[in-house]
Amino acid sequence: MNWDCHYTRTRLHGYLNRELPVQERRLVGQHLDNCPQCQAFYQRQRLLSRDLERELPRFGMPQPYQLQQVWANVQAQLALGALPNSAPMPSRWWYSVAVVVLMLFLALPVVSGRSRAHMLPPLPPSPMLQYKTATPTALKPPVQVALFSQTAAVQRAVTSAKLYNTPVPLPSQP
Amino acid sequence: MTLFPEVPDDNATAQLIAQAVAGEQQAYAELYEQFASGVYRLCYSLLLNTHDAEDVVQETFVYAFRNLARYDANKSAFKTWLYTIAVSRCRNLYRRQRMLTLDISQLLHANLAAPKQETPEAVFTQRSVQEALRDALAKLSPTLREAVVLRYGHGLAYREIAEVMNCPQKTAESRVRLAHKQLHHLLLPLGQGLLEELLQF
Repeated sequence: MNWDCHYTRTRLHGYLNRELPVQERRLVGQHLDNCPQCQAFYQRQRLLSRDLERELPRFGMPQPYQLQQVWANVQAQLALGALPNSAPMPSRWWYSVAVVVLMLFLALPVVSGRSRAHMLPPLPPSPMLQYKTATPTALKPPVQVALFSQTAAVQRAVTSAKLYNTPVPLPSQP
Repeated sequence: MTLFPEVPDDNATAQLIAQAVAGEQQAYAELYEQFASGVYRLCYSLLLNTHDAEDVVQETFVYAFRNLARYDANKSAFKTWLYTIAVSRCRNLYRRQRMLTLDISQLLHANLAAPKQETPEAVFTQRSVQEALRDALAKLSPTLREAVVLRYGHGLAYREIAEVMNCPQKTAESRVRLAHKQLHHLLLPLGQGLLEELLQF
């Protein structure tokens, strides 16, 4: 098989279905006129195409009772499930809007600069500051607690407690 | 219910769809009557099994009717849309049944296999044309079978085949060409040229 035969046979399907460009169609046609082998090959292909076009549409033709049975099943299934309603299905935009509104609601405290913690009732007084003595010891160092609600003397102690290496003189008891 | 319903034009189909969406139950029945035969033939040609074909036809119409309001006539013809649904369901079935590796012809026609000493012509005459076609189709891959059935069995254009098969048009063309070539090799050994033999029936 020479190059012309190869060229023709690779385009034969397109030639059969009249899908080749004019120039290619002319070249294939000319070769078919001059090459008995390709002409025979072409005839067999044409035969097969014609045969398929004739036979395949009849292939698997259903019997009327089959289609009726399937239709009965289709009707039964549609009756069981969501019936095809007259109204068009609700469009999806409604769901999108609902999601956006929900997200906005959840994000509102953050956007407005207030977290949910601010909305809670005030907590009872609690230790605001803890400090450790600077004395290194293997034992757990005593923890001294200062409350804001104490006197001015304690307030000074609290202020000085920020310097960790400075021993804090506790106020003398009256 | 007729097997060869008149092919509805696009306007008539669009009108039926509009009526069905508007709630007219009779329109559903008419749509089914117009298209069921074609969808069944397609499914049977791809699955080569009556029960599977019936199941897929049923699934296809139930899905299509439930989603009829979503059908867009500007995107594709109704037939193409239905075929797309049907082919998709057939593919699901192939995957489940591993049809790619099964030789269906052996399963369906094991009792029809002819002794080797018989000539191909004798073998062919013992079989009906439809059986010969069924055997040949069964030997094609599902993809090539889809392409050739849509092209020759349903007369779809390459553009429509590409749409149904969800592939580029050039791919659809090459699949049809390859399927044609394979069928040529599969069918010719059955006789001296399939058509000469077929024309005797």
